[in-house]
Formats: sequence, C-alpha cells, structure tokens
Amino acid sequence: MSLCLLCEEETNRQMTWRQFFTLVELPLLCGKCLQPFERITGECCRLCSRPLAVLDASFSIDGVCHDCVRWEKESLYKGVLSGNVSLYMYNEAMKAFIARFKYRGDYLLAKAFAEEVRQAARKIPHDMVVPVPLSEERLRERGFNQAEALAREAGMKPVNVLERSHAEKQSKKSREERLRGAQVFRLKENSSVHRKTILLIDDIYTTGATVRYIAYVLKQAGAAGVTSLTLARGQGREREAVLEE
Amino acid sequence: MRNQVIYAAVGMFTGLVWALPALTSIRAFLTAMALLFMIRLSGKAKSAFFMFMFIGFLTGQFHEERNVTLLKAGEGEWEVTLSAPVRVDGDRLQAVVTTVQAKEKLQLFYRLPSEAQTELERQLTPGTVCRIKGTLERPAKARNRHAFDYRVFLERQHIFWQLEASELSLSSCFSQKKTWKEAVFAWRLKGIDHIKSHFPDNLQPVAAALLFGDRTMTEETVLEAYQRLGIIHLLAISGLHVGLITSLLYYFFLRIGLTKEAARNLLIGILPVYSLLAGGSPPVVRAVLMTLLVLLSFRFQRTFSALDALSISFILVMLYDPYLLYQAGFQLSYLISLSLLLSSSIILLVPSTELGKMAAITAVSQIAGLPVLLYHFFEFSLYSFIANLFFVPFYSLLVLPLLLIIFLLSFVCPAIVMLLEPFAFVFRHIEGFTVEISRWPFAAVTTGRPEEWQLILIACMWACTFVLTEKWKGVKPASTLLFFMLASALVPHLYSIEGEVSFIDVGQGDAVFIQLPFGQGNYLIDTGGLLPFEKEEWQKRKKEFTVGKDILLPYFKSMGVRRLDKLILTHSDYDHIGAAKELFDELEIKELVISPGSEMKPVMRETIKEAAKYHVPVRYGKYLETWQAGAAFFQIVSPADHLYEGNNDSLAVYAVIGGKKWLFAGDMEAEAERELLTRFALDIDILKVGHHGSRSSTTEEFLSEAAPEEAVISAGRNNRYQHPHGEVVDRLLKHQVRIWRTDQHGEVTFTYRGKEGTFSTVFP
Repeated sequence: MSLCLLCEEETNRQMTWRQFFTLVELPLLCGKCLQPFERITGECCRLCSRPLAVLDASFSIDGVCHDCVRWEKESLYKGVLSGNVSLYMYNEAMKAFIARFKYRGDYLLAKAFAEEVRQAARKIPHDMVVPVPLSEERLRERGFNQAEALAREAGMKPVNVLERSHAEKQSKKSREERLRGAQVFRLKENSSVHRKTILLIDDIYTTGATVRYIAYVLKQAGAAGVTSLTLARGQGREREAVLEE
Repeated sequence: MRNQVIYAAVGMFTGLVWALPALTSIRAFLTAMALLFMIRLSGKAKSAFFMFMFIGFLTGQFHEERNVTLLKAGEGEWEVTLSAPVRVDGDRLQAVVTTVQAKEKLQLFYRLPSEAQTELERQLTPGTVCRIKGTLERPAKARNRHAFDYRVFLERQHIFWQLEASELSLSSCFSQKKTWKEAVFAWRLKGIDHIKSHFPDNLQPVAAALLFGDRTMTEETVLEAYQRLGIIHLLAISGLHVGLITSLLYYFFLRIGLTKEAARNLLIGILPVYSLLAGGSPPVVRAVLMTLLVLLSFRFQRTFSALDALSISFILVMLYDPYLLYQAGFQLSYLISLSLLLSSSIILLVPSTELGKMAAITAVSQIAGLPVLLYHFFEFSLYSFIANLFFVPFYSLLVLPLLLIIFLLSFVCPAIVMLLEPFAFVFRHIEGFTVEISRWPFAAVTTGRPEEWQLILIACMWACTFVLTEKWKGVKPASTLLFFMLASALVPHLYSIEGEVSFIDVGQGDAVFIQLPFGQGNYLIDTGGLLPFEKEEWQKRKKEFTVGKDILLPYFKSMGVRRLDKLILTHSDYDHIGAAKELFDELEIKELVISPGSEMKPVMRETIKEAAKYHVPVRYGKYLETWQAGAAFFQIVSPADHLYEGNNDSLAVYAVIGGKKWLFAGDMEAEAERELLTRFALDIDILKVGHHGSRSSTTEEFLSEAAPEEAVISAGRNNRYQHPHGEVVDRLLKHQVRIWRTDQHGEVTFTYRGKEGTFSTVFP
C-alpha cells in the first residue's frame, strides 16, 4: 500500500485521467500536497531559468536576468556555465519540502519529483552527471548527499568527481566575499572530465555561485560544457535563506 | 495493486463487447484502448487485464448461449409465479412472471374486463402462483429506424415472450410461502401504500419515487419536464441517494450509542435489503455494492480505493448479468462515477468553496454523461447545468431527508405528516415552475442519434476534454472541445449530404418524410394516426399510445429534425392526419398544406383548430402549384377542383427527388387516377401507391400509362382492411414493378446523393 510521501494519507491520492489513459505511475504526492508547488513556467532567464515575469523589466537585458549579466561580466566566470534549468519555485511549500528532505533526512522525498527531474535531464544534452558534493563532515552529519539522491532516484548514474573542503556557510558571506572567496571545490584525484559535457545536479539554485564555482573547476579540468539542473529556484529575494551545502 | 483493478474492469468490458452484440464503433474504441494498455501496462496489471478480457469474453459467451428460449408460440395454459409487482395502468395489467416448470420469464399482459378487477394490482403480490390461459407471442420489434425495440429490450431481461392472458382471476391463483426477495417486494408495496394513504397528494409521487424508486405515480408532464432539463435522474434512486441514506443511518446508529464497528456491520446487513426496497435499478445496485465494498474494506484495513470499489462492483455486476451494459441508466451511472473519481484533480482546480465544488462536480457529471445522452435520447439540455446546480442540493439536502424522516416517523405518529403541508405547497410551485422552464426555448437541443463515425469522434473528444483540462489546468481547451463535440453531433444531421424519402411505418396509415440534403427542406406528407376509441374513465391509461408521441416525435428526434417546412395533409382521414395535432407543440412547422375544402370535414377541422393554437399557418394546396428546393422539384397535381369529396380529393404531389420522378398519391382511387391521366402525360419512376394498396386504386390503365419501376405501399401489419389487396400486388408484379411494403419491411427509405439513390428497409 502506498501513501502520499508528504501527508501520508492515501485517500487524497486519486488516479487522474492522464494516468488512466497513459498509464504513467501515480505521483508519489497526493493532489492536495502537490497543489502548492509552483512549477516554473513562462518566460525565463536564458541562463538561469529565473522567471522574468515576476522581475521588473529593468532587471533583465535581452532575456538574461540582471544577476546573470553580472556573473557574465566577471572575467573568471564568464561563460563557464552554459545554463541552468530549475523546475520549481522556491516557495513556502518547496522550502518545507527541502527542509524535510535534506535537514531532517527524509530520503524518500528524493523520489517525489524524480519523474520531473528525469524528464528535464533528458532534454539537456550531457554525457556525465555530476552531483554537487558535500564536505565529508556535512555528509557524515546528513547521511546522504541530497543532490546525488535526486540524481539517483531520477534514474541517472551520478559520478562523484568532485570534493569539497568544509568551509563557512555560504549564507553567512556577502556577495563580494562569495565571488572572491576561496574555491572550496576540487577535482578528485584520478578522475577525469576531459571533453565531457557535464550535467550538474543540485537541490536549489539561489545566486548561482555554487554551480559557477564548480563549472569553473570543471572547465579548468577540460570539460567541454557544464549545464546545471536544480529542483528549486530561489527568487533571489531570500538571499538570507539557503545557499548552504 | 491499488487503483489497478480499473484495468481489469476495462479488460472485462472489452471482452464483453466482443462476445455480446455491440456497435462497431464501441468495439473499435475499446480495442484501440486495449492495444494501448497492452503496450503500456506492466507486470501484474497487464496479466490482470488479459485475464479479465478473457473472462469477460467467456462471460459474454456464456450468457449469450444461455439467453435463449425453449417455449413456442401459441395458445395454452401456463402455471406461473409473479416474480415482480403487478402494475395496472388503465384497463391493462402487466407483470413479469416466471413459468413454474421451465423457469422462463414472460411478460404478462391482461386487459381488465371490469373496473373491479383493477384491484388485482393489490391482490396479486409477488410470489403468487397463477394458472393463466392465454397466447404466447413474440414481442414487437422496432419498425422504424432508431425506434425503441421492445423485443430486444425484453430479451436483454431474459424475456422472450409476452403472454396475452385471455382470463385471469384471483380464484386461479394461490399464494405460496414467499422467498425473502418476494417478502422485501411485499414490504415495498406496503411502503408505497402507506405513502398513498398518509402523504399530501402532490408529494405522493415524489415520495414513492425517492423512497421506493417507483416513478409510476409521477405525472407525464413532470417527467417530461425533468427529462428535458436533464434532472430526471433525481427522480430515480441514484448513488447520491444511497450515499445519503447510508450516512443518515450511520449517523443515527452512532447517536443511539452503537460503536462504529457495530454500525458498519448493521449497514452491511441493511444495504442489500434497501437495494431491493428501492427497486433494484442499476445505479442503486452500483452504489450499494460500492458502499458495501468500502464498508468491508474497513475490516481489511482499507486496501482499496473508491475507484477499486467501482471497478470490482462493475466486474461483479457483469458476471451476474452482462446485459445491463445496454441500459442507459447503467451506462450513465458507471460513466459518471468513473469520471468523478478520475476528475479529482480537476475538481481541485476550482476554488474550494461549497458552491465552487458543487459547480465543478455538476460540470464533470454533465460532460461525462453527454455521449450516453446523445446516443439514447438524441438531445442535450442547455439548462441542465443550472438546473442540476439548484435541484441536486434541493433534492438531496431537503426533499429526500425530509420525506425519509417524516416517512419513518409517520409509522409511530401518523399526525406528523401535517408538517409536510407547508412543504407540499412550496413543492407544488417549484414543480409548476420547472414545467414552465422546460418549455423555454433551447431547454432541450435535439441532435439526432450519432452515427457510428460520430460516436468515435465524440468518444475521443470526450476523453480529450478531461485529459486536457487536467493537463492544462484550465477550462478553455475543454470548452472548445466540448463545443466541437456537440457540433459534431449536431451538424451532420442538419446539413447531411444525403437526402432521404422515408415511408415511416405508422401502422395502418401514411406518413412520408422527405428530407432534402444540406438542410434544403423537410417535408412531411401525412402523419398517420389512430381511430379514436371511446374509453371509460377507469380504462384510460396514464399514457395512451399515440402515433405522434410514440412514433413520429421520437423518429424526428432521432433524425435530428426539429423543423418541418411543409406539413402536407392530403385528406381528412384519421389514418392520414390523426397524429398531426400531436406534432404542433414539439416541432417548428412552417405551414400546413391541406386539400381544398377538406376543412369542412371534422378530423381536418379539429386539426386546423389545434394548429391555430400553436400559430401554425394553414393554406390550401393549389392545383398546379410548384416549388423548387435545391435540386428537388414539387408540384401539386390533384385535385383540380375545390369541392372536397373524400379520398379522390387527396392532395397528390408529383416530385423529382434524387433524380427520380415520384408520385405521392395519398388515398387517390380509380376516378382521380383517370382524371390525372387525362390531364397529364404521366411518367413516374416511383409510386406511393394510392389508398394503401386497396383494390379501388392503382388500376391497370394507370399502371400502363404511368409505368412506375418501384412502388411503395404504406399499410399496417395485419391490418383489418387487408390492405394491400392481392389484385393490386398482382397488377404491380405484372408490370414488373418492384414493391416495398411497410407492413412487411417496416420503414422503407430511399437514400440518395445527387441523382443516385437506393432503397433500404428496416426488415429485410
């Protein structure tokens, strides 16, 4: 018997017309629980898939959001990231979801959006899937790497080519510090990303710093291209929120 | 396996439609779905699907093989058990009986010789055994396209014969020990009697309908109004009622201090009895089975969903009697239940206020039932959404609980019925208002019966409507699809590329319907009709058989015809124009064309008077008057004078339709034929034979001169005038004229495209 992964009720989990005719698996969340999640739709930043509709027009130039424009101005990071795809808005529901998933260790939730992640990944050309790594300390603390879990449950074969040294939490740094901050990601010994097109997986994209640091490292190591895919996309307003590991 | 039983049910359904007689379109649609499932389903669900497809096929085969009769037609005496309540309507008694020896079901009819015998309805309780003298006959088949087929209808209830009793009296009957089922039926009758003796007059019909599923007391006008507004389901006991009664009882049991478990067990015992008390119609059985399954599942710690319960109930009912599949009530009940269950995410899209939810549920049910309504009733109602939005809560939250509670209390304290008086007053007005609204324009839009290709189109659009609403989370795509769905049902009938000349089988009489292609014109020549027959008050039935209401109007509805450009009434005889006045109310009739002077005769005079009430213009058909519509040409060729003298002054119409030359001769006899020959150089391809093939028409001389190739004789089966006369048939054959006869072929239709056409008939 299967219950909704979030509310653990079964009565709310009804078969729908599409499932009846197309025989796709039932979603693991019930309709009620799924409702508050906001899928990112409409016009988005070409680089980071930030919805442009909610953004003031002055904050985007030619379909690229202000943040990305600034990133692309940094000589160090210019062009390292081919693009980012995010699936859901980081709203209250998603905030609670991610908190439960990664801080409270509800590993099963990695399955909740697996189908969506899989479909999105299929549309991005890549020949290697790399999860954003945790530091050893953090991994011990949590028991699993949420990015790797997302990738695995979506049926991908993530390769851990990176390692991360434990550092101060990202959220406690200013933008300037983060940009200039010491690189915490390194390529593991004996691993090669040479000429690979890489899909980087993470749970959330907020400022884009993490994925760009990594993209930089990967590019330096000879990767052909790096695109990132994240479950959630911060609106940029909750700077104080989570760009932790 | 949660939510997977539905695939087993679909498999079963697919197997069944291959074993049982079914529409090709339905088979094709289900087979396509089966193929899809075959590819996509995995593991257990796939094997269950195939297994049940096989089981369904075997079940269908099994029932088809067993649904046969061993009896033979003829007179005799039978010992039968009354297996269901006896119904008396006017001077006719009818009942379903089972022969004691062969255990075969028969439909019993008996014409009561005296008013005293109407008491038999009360005296002959289910379970009574009677010796009945009479004749076994096969029930009547449908004689016109799309018409109700009584024979098929009965065969699907395992009844192959109707027993016309020549005498039936209480003295030849004895009661035996009742089975529990018959005992429940007897309670039901007592319950209805209790309503009749205690409730206010105008609430009796609705109480009998809602509490016992007995609609026989309800007025025809009310039934019609409810039908037109698409709320007739409220007068049938539906799943909604069962749910309400279950929850009322459950609540009551908890209040008097039972534990939840005890209350559930009690309900498991009560519900089957209730389904019989309520008349045991498919929706009740469905709802009761589903409720029972859900109640039972509590014992097994909830292992299945409502969808599973629905699927299991479907499989069980189909194993028991697959012929229920053909019933509109069954189809609606399952289709709507399934749709509501699958639409939960659509219903969530609407703001979750009470009204919003109600509206969403109503909309889903309305759309879900549309294909079935279009197929069985040839129309849909534009007001039904609003009507349901008001009447469903009105009936389920007020009328039903009120009547139920008062009914139960009235056994303890009969005076409590007084409380119903103010409600009876309100109800009378609401009912009156409902009848009024149902007469407003567009209350019912007639579409005609969808052809097979239309059905496939409608089924696909139906499915897409739901899938797309769900996918795009909006009603816009759905409403567009819905619009196209209705248009695809409506337009092909309005603008058919084929034209038709149909000789409708109205029994003894004439009714010729000419439908030109592309909506260029609808003409009806004569309407048929019955000779009026004096009856005493007690003999009158609630709904007497009439040619207009029972043959013509359903016929036009099924063809999607709502307008007659001309109604030509050839002459003043009942068998030609008797039913005309029944059409005025329902069809838009542009004009009535009558034979000059015929208005002096009583039948025509009365018809014209009725026409005036509905503002239908009436005029004489003028000698040599012509008109053209599209490629068709018409001319009135007789009578030439204004003195009406009977059959020989029938309006005769010459026409060129579908590249053929026609003569519609009315009741023209030798004299008028001779005159016709003197006035015209007549050359005809197809002749509507004058006066039903009576000897005094269609003379040798006329045939040699007019030289038709085909002839249509419109006469009633086994008519008392023995039309057509053998001599006429011989004359026609001698002239090598091909003969089409409505008494033998049923409806005869000439269908044409451009200048090419062919005849077809209902019976080969």
